[in-house]
Amino acid sequence: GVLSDSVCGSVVLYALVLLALFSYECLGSESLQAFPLLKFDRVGQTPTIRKSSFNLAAASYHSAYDESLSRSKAILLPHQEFLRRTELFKNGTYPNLSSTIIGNYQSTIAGGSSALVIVVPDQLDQETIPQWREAEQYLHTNELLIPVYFVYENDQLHEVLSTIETSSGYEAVSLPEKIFNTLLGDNYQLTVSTKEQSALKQVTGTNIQGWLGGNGDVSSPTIAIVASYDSLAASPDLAKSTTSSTSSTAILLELVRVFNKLYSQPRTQSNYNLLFLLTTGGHFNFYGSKQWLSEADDRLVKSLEAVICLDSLGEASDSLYLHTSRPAKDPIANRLYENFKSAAKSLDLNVEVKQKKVNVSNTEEPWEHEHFSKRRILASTLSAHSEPSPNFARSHIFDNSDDNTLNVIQRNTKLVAEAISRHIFGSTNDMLVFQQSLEIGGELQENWLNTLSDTPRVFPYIPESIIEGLEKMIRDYTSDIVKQTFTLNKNSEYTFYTANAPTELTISVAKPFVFDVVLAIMIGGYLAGLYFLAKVRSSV
Amino acid sequence: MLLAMTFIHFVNCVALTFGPLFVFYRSHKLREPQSLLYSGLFYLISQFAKLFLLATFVPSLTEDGSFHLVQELMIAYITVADLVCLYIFLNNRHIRGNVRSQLLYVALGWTAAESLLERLGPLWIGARNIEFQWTYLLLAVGGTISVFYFYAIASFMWLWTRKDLPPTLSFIVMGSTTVYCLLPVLFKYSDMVLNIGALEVVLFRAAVVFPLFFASKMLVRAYEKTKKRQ
Repeated sequence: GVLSDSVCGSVVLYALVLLALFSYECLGSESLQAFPLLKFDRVGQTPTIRKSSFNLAAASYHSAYDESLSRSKAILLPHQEFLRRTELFKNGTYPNLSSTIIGNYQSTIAGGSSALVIVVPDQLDQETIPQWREAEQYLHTNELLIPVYFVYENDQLHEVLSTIETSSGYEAVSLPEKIFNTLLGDNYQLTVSTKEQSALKQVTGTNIQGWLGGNGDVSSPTIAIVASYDSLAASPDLAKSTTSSTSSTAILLELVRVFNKLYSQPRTQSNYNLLFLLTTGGHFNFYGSKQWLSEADDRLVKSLEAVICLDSLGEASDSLYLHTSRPAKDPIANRLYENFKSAAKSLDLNVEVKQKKVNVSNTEEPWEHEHFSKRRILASTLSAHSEPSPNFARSHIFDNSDDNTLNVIQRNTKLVAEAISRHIFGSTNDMLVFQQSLEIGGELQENWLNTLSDTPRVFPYIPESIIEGLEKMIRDYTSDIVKQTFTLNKNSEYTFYTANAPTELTISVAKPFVFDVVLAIMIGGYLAGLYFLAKVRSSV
Repeated sequence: MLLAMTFIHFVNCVALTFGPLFVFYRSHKLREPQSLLYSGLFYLISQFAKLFLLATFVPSLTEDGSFHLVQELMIAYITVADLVCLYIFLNNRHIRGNVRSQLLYVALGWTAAESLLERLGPLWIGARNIEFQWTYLLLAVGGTISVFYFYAIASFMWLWTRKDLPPTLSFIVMGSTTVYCLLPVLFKYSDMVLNIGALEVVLFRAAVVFPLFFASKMLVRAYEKTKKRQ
C-alpha cells in the first residue's frame, strides 16, 4: 500500500540525508600564488639540489621535529613560528634529528619535512622588522635542500592551517570531534608543479656611469655619487627594496637631473667634474662597485676627490649617518664632512659622521664605500642606519613604501645636493642653492620611485627594460655615458640559477583511508537495507 | 597505498551506482536478464535517435553556457523520442511477466545503460584522484534516483499502450507525460542558472522524481482497479 511505498521512499531519502550531513563542508581545491625562495650558491658551498616541484600531504608544523611524522610531508609555517625558529637557530638550539643529510638550519626551521611553505602577512609591524630582516639573511646564507615557498595569508589558508592543527591533535577539541576528524576529516595535499631550475652558465651585470664635466681642465677633481639599482628579498618577485636600493637610485637620478640643470649654465658650473654611477649586484657585497673599480681608468680613479655612496635613504630616521674611513685630520675629508653637517643644519636635519678604519682582511664589506677606501679614495656612505647591516640583510620582502617615503627621499636628496654644491663651489654661507627652478623633488623622482618599486630587480634577473630606462635617463642628463657590462666567470664567488617565476600552490582535500572503509561499510548497509525493504514490499 | 585508497573510493562509487539496481533486481525475483539487455538496448537506440534528431533539427547550440528557453523547449520535444521508443518496446511485449515486472525490467535496464554511459566514465576518471570530492558519490546517488525516474515514465508509457484506458486517467497520463518532457528543461535550468551545489542538484532531482514516481504508482493502481471492476 501507500505506507510501504513511503517507507521505501524514505529509506532512500534517509540515506541521502546522511550523505548530506557529511558534505556540509564541500571544500574543493584551492590555488594560491606561491613565491619561490631565491636560489644561489656561494663558492665553497656544495651546490643546493633544491627541487622546485612537490606533491605532498600536509603535516602540522608542530610535528616537524618528529621525523616519522614529517618525512615526505609538506609543512605550512606561519611567519611568527618561522621567526621563533630562526631565533632558536641563532642561539644554537638545534633539534636532534637522526638524518645526517639535513643541516642544522634546515632541521631547526623545517624539521624532517620535505617541503616548506612560509605563510606571511601583507604587512609586518615595525618592531618585528629587524628580526625578520635577520631571518631572511639566514635564509640566504644557510642551506635548505627542500623546496621553499612564500604565500600570503588569507582566510581560507587560515582555515586550512587550523584544520591541520586540529586533526593532528595540537589543538584541544572535544573527543567526538577528535574521532570525527581522525576518521572522516579532511587531509590536505599540497602541490606545486613548475620547471626545475638549472645553473646559469653565463651571468652578466651592467653598471651605468654618467659624466657631467665641469668647466675646469684635465686636472680638475671629480666627485662621484654611487647607488646600486638592484633589489633583494627572500623571493625575487617580492623584492621591492623601496627604502634601500630603490630609494638610493631615485635619489641619484634626481641629483643627476638638478646638477645637469645647474651645470647647463656656465656661471653656475663648477670646475669639479661629477660622476654618477649606478651599480648592479649591490646586494651581493656591492659586486658592481668592485667590478667598476677593477676596470676603472687609473687617471679617473686618481681624479676622484670624494665618493659618496647612498644607502637606505628611504627610511624615516631622526638622524642620518655619514660613515667614512678617513679621519677628519685630512683637510679635504674634513671639508667634506663639515659641508654635510652644515647642509644638514640648514635643512633642519642632523648628520653624524662615523669614522671607522677599514679592515683590509674583511671578505665582506659592511659599507659600499670601503671598496673605494681600499683603493685610497676618500669615500663615505650616507645612510639612515647607524650600524651596518650584514650582506643579505639590507632588504627584505616587507621593504615597502608608506605615505612618508617620498618625503623622506626628497629631503635626503636635498641634503646630498646641498652638501655637494657647498663642496664644489666652496661656499661658506648657509644659502640653499636648490630652490625655485632648481627645486628638488618632483614628478620625475616620484615616477622613478614608483616604477622601480613595482619592478623586482634581483640580480641577475634584472629586466632589460629597467636597464634601458636607467641608461636613457643618464644619457639624457649627462654629457658622457659609459655602460660597463661584465660577466661573472666560472670561478666567481656566486653561482646563479635560472629564474623561477611565482607559481601556483594547490591545496586539495584528501580523505583518510579509514574514510573509504567507513563509506564502503555504509554503502553495504544501505544496499542491504534496500534489499530487505524491497523484498518486504514485493511479498506484500 | 595511495593508489589502493583511491581505487577503493572508485569501487565505493560504482557500488553505490549499480548496487541498488542489482538489489532491486534480486529482491523482486526477476529472473530474465535478457529482458534487461533488451531494455538497455532500447535505451541506447533512443539516445542515438535523440542525438540524430538534435543534430538534424535543432539549430546550432550556443556554447556560452546561458539558458535559452526556446532552444531548450525544442530539445525537450526531442525527448519525445524517448517516449516513442518506450512505447514501442512496451507495446511489442518483448518482456514477459506481470505489469510490475515489465516496468521494473524497463526501469532497471534503462538505468543500467544510462549509468554505464554517463556515470562509469566520470567515475573511472575522477573518483580515482587523490583529491576527494563529494560529487562522485552524489553522481552515484543520482543513478539510484534514475531508477524511480524511469519507472515513473515507463508507467506512463505503459498506460498509454492500454487501449481500455478510461478518459479521466488518460487525461492525467497525458498531463504527466507532458511534464516528463519538460523535466530535462527544468533540470538543465537548475544546473546552469541557479548555480547551486552538487548536493542541492541531487536533492532537487529527488524532490521532483519521487512525487512523479508516486503519482505513476497511483495511476497504475487506479487503472488496475478500473480493470478489476470490469
